[in-house]
Amino acid sequence: MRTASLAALGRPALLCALGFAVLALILFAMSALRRRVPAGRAGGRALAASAGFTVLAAASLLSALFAHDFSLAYVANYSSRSLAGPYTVSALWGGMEGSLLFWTVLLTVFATIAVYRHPNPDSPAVTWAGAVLAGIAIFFLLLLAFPADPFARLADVPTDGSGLNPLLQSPGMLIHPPLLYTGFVGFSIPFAFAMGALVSGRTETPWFTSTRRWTLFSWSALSIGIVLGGAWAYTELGWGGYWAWDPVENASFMPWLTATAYLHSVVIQEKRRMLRIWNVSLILATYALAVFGTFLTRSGILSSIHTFTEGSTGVWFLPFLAAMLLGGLAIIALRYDRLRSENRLDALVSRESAFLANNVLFVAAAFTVLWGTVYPIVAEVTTGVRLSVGPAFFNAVFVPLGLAILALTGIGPLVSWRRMSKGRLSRLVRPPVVAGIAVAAGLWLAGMRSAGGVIAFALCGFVAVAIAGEFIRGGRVYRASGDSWPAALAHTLMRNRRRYGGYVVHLGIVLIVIGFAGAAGKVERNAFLEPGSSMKVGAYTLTYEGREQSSTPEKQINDATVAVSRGGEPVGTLHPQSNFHFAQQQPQSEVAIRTTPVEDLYVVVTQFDPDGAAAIRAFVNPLTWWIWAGAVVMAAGMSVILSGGTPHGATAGATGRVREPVAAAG
Amino acid sequence: MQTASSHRQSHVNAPPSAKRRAKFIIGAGVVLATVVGLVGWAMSRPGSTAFYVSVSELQASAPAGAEDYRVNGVVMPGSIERRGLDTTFAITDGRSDVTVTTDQPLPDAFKDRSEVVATGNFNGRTFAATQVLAKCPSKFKAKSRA
Repeated sequence: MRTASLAALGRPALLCALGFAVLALILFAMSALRRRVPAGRAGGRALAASAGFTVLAAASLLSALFAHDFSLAYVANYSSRSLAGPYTVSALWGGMEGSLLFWTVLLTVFATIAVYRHPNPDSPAVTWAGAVLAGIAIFFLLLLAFPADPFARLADVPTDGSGLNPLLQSPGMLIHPPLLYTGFVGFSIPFAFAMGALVSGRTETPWFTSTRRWTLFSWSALSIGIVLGGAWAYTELGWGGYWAWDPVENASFMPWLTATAYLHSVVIQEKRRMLRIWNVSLILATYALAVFGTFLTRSGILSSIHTFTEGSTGVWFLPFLAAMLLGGLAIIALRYDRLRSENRLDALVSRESAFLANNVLFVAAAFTVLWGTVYPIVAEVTTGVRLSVGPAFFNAVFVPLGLAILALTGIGPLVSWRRMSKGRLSRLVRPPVVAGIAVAAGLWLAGMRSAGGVIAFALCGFVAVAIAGEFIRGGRVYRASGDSWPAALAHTLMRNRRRYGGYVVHLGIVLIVIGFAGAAGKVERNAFLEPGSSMKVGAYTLTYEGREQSSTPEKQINDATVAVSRGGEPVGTLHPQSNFHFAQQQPQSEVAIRTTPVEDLYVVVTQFDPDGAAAIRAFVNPLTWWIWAGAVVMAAGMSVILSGGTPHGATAGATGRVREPVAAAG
Repeated sequence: MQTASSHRQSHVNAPPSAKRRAKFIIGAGVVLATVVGLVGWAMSRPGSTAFYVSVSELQASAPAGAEDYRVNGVVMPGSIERRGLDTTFAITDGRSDVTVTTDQPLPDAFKDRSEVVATGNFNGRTFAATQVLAKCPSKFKAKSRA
């Protein structure tokens, strides 16, 4: 070792973490089975110690990365001396071993916090949850100790590392993987507490209320992580899109779909004590899908651009996944009697029905993605024919499913719990319906003839006005007591943060759908241009003026100057690049995007000829800006929800007497 | 997981339970059938699924004029020829090879000996690709295994 680093501490720390996780499992199980409180508390401390040692292992890997300790295979494979500082941090999760270590850090730290911060940490439900979490931690620590050792040494120490893939050297890649992992791992907490509550048979602490913040937090992290992944793909990969229905993208989307279903249906459980089996099953499905996603990226079982190298790690996941699913289902079956609903649906037109329909659609969507993702495996095993399922399939299914879900987003909040009169419903529904029809008519008159597009925008109008109506109705109460409108709306939002924060999230979804619908008007042109020549894309004329070359220690920069004009008027200059990275011996395109709320002009140089001519690929992507704007609105809504305490609605619902709008949350 | 104390719910105004249950079962059945139908319809649309084959399998079993094929192989060194936007190259699986033509942009990782997946149609002699993806083994593994 030529440079001082903490690398030597890594493996011992991992083994200690494993030892403490095993100890935690034994103590928790002993405490739960024999009802011994001190053993449970000791289990909590063992879990905390395991978290501490896992963090130490990660710190030691990070220090080895910063110290360029290339005697570690991981450091040699994923970093180099020339790697810029912040991206050395992203090398921590840029490779398989490091990413699993990062997973485990989050898992053990989250588990420790969840057990310690539980309002009733000595209850058997919590002790069982601790045992489940320790069991999960043991699995991941075993992976790190054996097949995916991040501290494996190289016999021949290279003088420099191979460097991080240039695609991963992007600000998005500093945030996207940690957010996705936070989302995935965060669902361990509601999963473990649901299982703990079922195993212990304890009913006094409903697991879903004590883990609500974890659920919301994980869901928010996963949502933002997915959007950032799309943004990264859009700005880095150069194919003009942000979502390709790649198996690994699907792997992050499936738990998001079931988690979104769960977030909605758990409200029914709170308010009406219904759907308990369904909710436990949803959280089991969500966590199983999250682990399945982690497995997919590490198994090489499906071809994807995101996969880590094939290795022996994947096979370890199958028994783990099977144990989790079978164990979870067995526990649900065992406790079936205690999970039965206390209430029934009263009427088809009720908030419960709307939530139920939402759930059916979200779960159908999740299974559709699962079907399309694993169909190639199923087909190969059953018929021997290898098939691949392309984006055409997913888009065909998701347009109708997505539009139906969007419509429910508008309808759901308008219908009251239990039942409502037709007169009241039609009064509430009228303005949004009028808005939707107006949007559709306007677009039709403006010459839009794509049925899908007209329906999508009309539904966006419908939902936006429905949400506005909710805020106005809520605000009137404060308005009556003398508030100005802005103050009244702010009061409305902050007084029932879960409900109105939820509406803000819905508004973000509306904006995102506007962006998706815009993709139907996408234009793509490819041209091979000599310096001085032009091409047209949409309403734009692009003139390739020439190439400028320069060098850094990492790469040779080839920068194209592309003058952009629209209707004869120059509107600016874009600089797409195709740079040659020395460490990877490979070119890397840097996309140039001129973005406006109306449309993005997206320009890529796919190839430079030695004489300076350039192959240019250009897209006009209408309304893509709205996706990122919608994500920001969604994030704002999530922050509002997360900033609220535990709403009192959780107990109010026990009586089944829930009145609009004070206690209802959406 | 609630105590019996929450059984204060009244069902006074509820319609007969059997009828209501039938309504929901029918509703669920309709939704399920719709979703299954939607998936079936989407699967059968052209371009939704493609046969995924190796070069040998393509040469051995694909009918001339085969559409919607994805063929997986390694780019043969020295075979890449570019003329403007058009590119011609050969891929092999070690036993057979096939010439691929495309007018589409190629990914950055596309080079001699990179593993690619070409999607397109096969006329019996050459494979006309509408998309070429480089299945880059070095995506996360910076050290090239090729």
